[in-house]
Amino acid sequence: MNLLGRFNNLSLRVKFVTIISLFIVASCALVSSYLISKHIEAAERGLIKKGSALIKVLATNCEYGTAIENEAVLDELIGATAQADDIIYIMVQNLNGDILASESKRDGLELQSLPPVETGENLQVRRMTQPGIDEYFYELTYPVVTSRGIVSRETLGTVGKSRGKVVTEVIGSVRLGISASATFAEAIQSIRAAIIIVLLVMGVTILLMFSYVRLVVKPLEKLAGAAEKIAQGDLSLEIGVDRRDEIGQLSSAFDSMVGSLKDSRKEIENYNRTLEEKIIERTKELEQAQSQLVQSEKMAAVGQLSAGVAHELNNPLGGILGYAQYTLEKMNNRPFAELTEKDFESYKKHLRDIEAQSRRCKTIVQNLLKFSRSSSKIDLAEVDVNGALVETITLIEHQMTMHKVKLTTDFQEGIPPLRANAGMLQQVFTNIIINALHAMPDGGDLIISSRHSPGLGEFSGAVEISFTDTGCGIPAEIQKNIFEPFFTTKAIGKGTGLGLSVSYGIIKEHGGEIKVESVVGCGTTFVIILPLEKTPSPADTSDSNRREYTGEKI
Amino acid sequence: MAQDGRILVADDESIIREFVAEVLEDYEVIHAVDGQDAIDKIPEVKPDLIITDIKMPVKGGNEVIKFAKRFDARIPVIVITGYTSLDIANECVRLGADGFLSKPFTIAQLREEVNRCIEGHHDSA
Repeated sequence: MNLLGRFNNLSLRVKFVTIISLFIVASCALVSSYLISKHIEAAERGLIKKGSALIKVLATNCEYGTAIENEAVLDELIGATAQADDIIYIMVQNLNGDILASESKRDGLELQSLPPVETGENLQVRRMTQPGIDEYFYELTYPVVTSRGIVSRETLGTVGKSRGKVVTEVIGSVRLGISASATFAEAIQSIRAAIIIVLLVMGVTILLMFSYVRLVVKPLEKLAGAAEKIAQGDLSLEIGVDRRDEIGQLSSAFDSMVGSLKDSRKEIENYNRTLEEKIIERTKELEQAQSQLVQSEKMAAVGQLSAGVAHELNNPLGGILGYAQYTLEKMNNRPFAELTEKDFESYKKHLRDIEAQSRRCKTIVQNLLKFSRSSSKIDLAEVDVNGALVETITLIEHQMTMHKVKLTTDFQEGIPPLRANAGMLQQVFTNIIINALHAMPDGGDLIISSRHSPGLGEFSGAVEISFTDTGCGIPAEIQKNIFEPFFTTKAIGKGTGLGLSVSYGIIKEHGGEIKVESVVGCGTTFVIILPLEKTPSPADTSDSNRREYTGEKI
Repeated sequence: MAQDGRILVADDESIIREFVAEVLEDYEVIHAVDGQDAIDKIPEVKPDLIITDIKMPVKGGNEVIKFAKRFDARIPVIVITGYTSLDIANECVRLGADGFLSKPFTIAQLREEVNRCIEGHHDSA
């Protein structure tokens, strides 16, 4: 299974070549082994035929010598026969197995040690190996026969026509060893030739196959490479078609596919470009709308403030008008000559009062102007958070009194200045305070606190401003909606529903966060977190901020 | 100088109280810094006239009017306020205010309103 698995991992080319090669080798081996075995068989048959012809003649010739057991006669006979090349040995035995005569052409061969053979009536052939000589040979055994009545010991010397039936009698045997070496050498040569032919065929086949496979696989590899490049997004590739076969068709189909891919990609790019342009356009429109929204919401807040501001202005104006009239009246009523030191002192005091109250009016008007000044673009300056809070409170203080809201402030001293748009921050503060007043129609407490948090959450140094009221609270299910534009719980015409969404936008623009925690019936806390170092303006500000910050710490 | 009467002025704005006191120099003017202060002082001062602001810390002018009218319905009350809204004027009249001045007011307006109320007070007394 492991082998099979490994085979599956091989490339198509190697698989193909391996299988075909194995097949060719196997078939070649099969055919050649068949042919070789046939060849050997035929050679053996020839050898045995030759041997049997020789032995039969020899056996006939040896009849006399065997009969008389005369070694000299036999030696002469077998010596002549042994001349043949492939004869290893010849021996003549009597029926007792005694060797009457022998001729051996191999030095180490002991004829006595050869396994005995039962003398039969016919030719016996056996294939043998023998210690002392390292070659295959066939041993042929043929009986030496004499015909009683013609020649016998009793009738030796008598010549005459035989009368009666002739009886043949085995009187010994001839044994002949004939070498198969030459035959095997031939066979080995044939095998060698066959192997060479097989190898040649295989080599040529593999060569042919490789070139054919190259013909098929090379373009496939090229296609695969191209497909990979396309997958990586490179469409510049073209395969090019220079043939008309299936591979050529595939290549041209591939090229046309790449072409249409290119076209559709271009289309998508164009579409994306127009989309981007549209997005930029829409973003610009949105930004415009947003700044308009901020401005109109601010104007709405100014409207809400105006009652408080009017009251705030009317107090000092009352003093100014009153003292101006009063002083004028006194001066009109008394001739200049009658004026006493005390009168002068009193007039001076009134003028000082008028001056002080005028300054108060100026401050109020300035605060209102600062608040309502158009600032559609974020216009950053160093802002003292506590100062901005105090200015906002002066605009709104009387409204708090009117709502019977008791204000408590808890401002931490020495908060580093923020880079921010003061007007926008004040707009956010005003909005949250007015919402708090509306949440407490029967009065309550409002706690405004500011705090410097050196490492708050994701901010590295931030200012945390919180507004806690004891109002009606915001139900949990609408807490997520309160920062949405046009979401309001106030009666129609009482609120724009934009205050908190605009506030949210402003705080986000400052890189900060605005959060709400509220329990129905207990009150609401709005927390604004403004980063000291992370500001939406160009990078230079954060650097200077850090310097100032550390400077202040020292 | 003969004291024509006692006037309680309740306003959290000292400039207004001082100005009123200067203009009404013929009267004994008692200052109250807020509504609660005014309510505390009414029984002991027994003023002939009360001038009160509406928007004041702790307790507002309407509380002062209510208390004054309960204490002695004959004491005239003049309301001065920075808000010139009809709602507030109506509310004050409903509570029993006798005069109404909106800031900023002239000396003439103040004197006229004070005289009208004091005379009315004397007439009813």
